[in-house]
Amino acid sequence: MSLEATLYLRLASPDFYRPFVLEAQFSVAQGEILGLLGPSGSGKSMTLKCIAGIVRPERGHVRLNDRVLFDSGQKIDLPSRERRVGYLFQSYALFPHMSVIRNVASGIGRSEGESYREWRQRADRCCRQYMEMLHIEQLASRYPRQISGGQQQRVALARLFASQPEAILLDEPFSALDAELKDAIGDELKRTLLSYGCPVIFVSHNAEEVSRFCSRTIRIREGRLESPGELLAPAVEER
Amino acid sequence: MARLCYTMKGRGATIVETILTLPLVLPPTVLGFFLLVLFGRNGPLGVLLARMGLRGVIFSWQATVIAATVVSFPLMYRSARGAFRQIDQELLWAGRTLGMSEWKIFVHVMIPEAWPGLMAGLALSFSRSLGEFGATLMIAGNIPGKTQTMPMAIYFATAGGDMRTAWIWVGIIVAISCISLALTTHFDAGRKG
Repeated sequence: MSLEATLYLRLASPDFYRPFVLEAQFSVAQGEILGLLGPSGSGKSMTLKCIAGIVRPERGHVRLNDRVLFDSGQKIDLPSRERRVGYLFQSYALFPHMSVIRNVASGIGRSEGESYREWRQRADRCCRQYMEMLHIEQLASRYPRQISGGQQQRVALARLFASQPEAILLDEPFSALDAELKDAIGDELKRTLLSYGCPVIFVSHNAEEVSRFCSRTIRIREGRLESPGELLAPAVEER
Repeated sequence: MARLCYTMKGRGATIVETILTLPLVLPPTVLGFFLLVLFGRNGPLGVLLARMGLRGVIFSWQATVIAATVVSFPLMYRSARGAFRQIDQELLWAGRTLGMSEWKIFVHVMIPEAWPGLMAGLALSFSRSLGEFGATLMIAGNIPGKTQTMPMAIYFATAGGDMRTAWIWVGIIVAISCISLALTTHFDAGRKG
């Protein structure tokens, strides 16, 4: 299992003299946590959004395991819904009017030939499993605004795992947490991610955070990856 | 209607939006005139309805419904659109990356998120349609017990010197309007809180 991405994206932005250009090529292996490190505005989040199908790159290729998620040449562009890429938003993006357990269950779709009852039972089992794993089972009937930032993050993670993604993207997952909580949660989160065992990309502007959390780091600056040689092939295409 | 608004928003069709919002700024009589032309015996929609076996929509109670709907629709549309636009886009993208269908996102995320705004819009447009006078008079006339609406009953009762009847209708309208305005304020407060 691995995730491979080659991206070229040009965004016309009225604030800048020249358009913002993102060029990136990298791959992440199964069970690996790749860190994307760079200042804000460097294109880290944009890279994740291209992989998740939220932003469409101009040219490029994204492959997850043996599925092509995006290929500009072959005109393949799977919608986010079908990509099976879990995205942890900086703000966690929990559904505010849903209880914790309904949030966790929201990504569990009904499979074909499954009766409504079977589906509910399976969803329930699945939710319990991940909520126990993340120690939030006692919060099941609470609402997102009633729980702390750290708990919200766990709920968002449980929701993400429950949707059975084949790759996980973490966008500044610790930015909404205070330093103490960050240390406490960090190691556990890392263990959880490694035990789930899929390619993970971790985006952050904090070098210390990245070096502690990730197995490998790529620096990104102004839309370009600066990284150790073997990881990065030459730029995707000439500008 | 709300679903329609959402797709409209997605397409960003300015022309459609202008046409939909036009009833808000046009004088009701102009609107009534257009409706009369459209639904009249020789109007395009009138002919279509006649083919479907619905003769004489004009000057029937259905006409008052059409007038009220057309006049109040922009208010509902605007409120709904505003409410949908306020939704955090990340929530919708979160839904998509979790594999939820657009319909599921609409029902389980967009509607609950926009609910206070939708309700406020409903109350507003309901009050507006209650007070509809001009367009209704043009397209449905004033046939007591058939197409007479409350504002018209008031107008003609006052004109005929029947103050007692007028007062009763005025009282009813003021009461209903106050209730719906109170509801609007209530939902607006809920949206902020």
